[in-house]
Amino acid sequence: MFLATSLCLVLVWAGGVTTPMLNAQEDEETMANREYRIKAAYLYQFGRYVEWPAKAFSDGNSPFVIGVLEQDPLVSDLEQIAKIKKIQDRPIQIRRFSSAADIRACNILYLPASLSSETQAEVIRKIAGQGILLVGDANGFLNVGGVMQFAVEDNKIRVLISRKAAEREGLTISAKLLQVARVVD
Amino acid sequence: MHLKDGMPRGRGTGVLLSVILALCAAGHVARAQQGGDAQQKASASAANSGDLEGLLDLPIEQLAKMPVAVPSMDIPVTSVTKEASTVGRSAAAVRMRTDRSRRFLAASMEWSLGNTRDNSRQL
Repeated sequence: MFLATSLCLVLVWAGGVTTPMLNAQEDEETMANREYRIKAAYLYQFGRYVEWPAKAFSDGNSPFVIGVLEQDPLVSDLEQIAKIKKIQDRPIQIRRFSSAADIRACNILYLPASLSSETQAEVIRKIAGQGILLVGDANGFLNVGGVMQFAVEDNKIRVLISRKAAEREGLTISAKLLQVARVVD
Repeated sequence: MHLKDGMPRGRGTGVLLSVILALCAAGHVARAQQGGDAQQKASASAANSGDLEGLLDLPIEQLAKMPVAVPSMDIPVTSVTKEASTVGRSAAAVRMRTDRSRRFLAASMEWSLGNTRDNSRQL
């Protein structure tokens, strides 16, 4: 009798406890992937809804460059996008920069939330006025001079835009993007 | 042969065996379901590129409406900085503690925290 009861308990534990644990782990992975994928899709869409100054491209054939400072899981999605899409009829090139000093010409520069605010400010000081769309993921990114910032609001990714910073970079943002985003200044 | 409460022992054993068989069957179903989940996961990974392509083709208004978090990761919690957050967006240690607390039905926060510390040492 004791053996049978123990067996029952083991079976109940095996069925009821392990399954939710596995599901939670899967959910966590799905959530992280989905967030990165949506942000990568936004970066691609920015290329369609923002106009760059002529100086941003050396010639008609030069690629559209999306730079990412330091390693971020978003890069793999961006590389996938670069294989299948073009922006403004230009091939997309993804460049990874290991430090602020390493940053070269690009059209969009994405700064992950993992960067310190000092590094973010250093990067912005270095490249301000070069016609680069600076997109960041950290709170307060617009306060240090960023042009766009991702924020999660109501379980959705919201884009915050600093119109002043966009003007400083000579970027023209379409009315459609401004309508979807939240303009902070 | 009868038990004290009057239920025949043979009948009692039969009921018990039925329960065990039912639980075994449930276990098999759960395992089969896990196998199915794994298959679904593999299919989802295979469809990942399609998924991304779908997002790229969405109008920006639709992209802005895409939910980020899956429901189970959207449980409200309060972080150590006393800011409102969700399980999915909190530090790993908090998630670990939540999972472990549930798994072992932790009765006290002290026990739970102790367990998290042990775990972080292992990591």
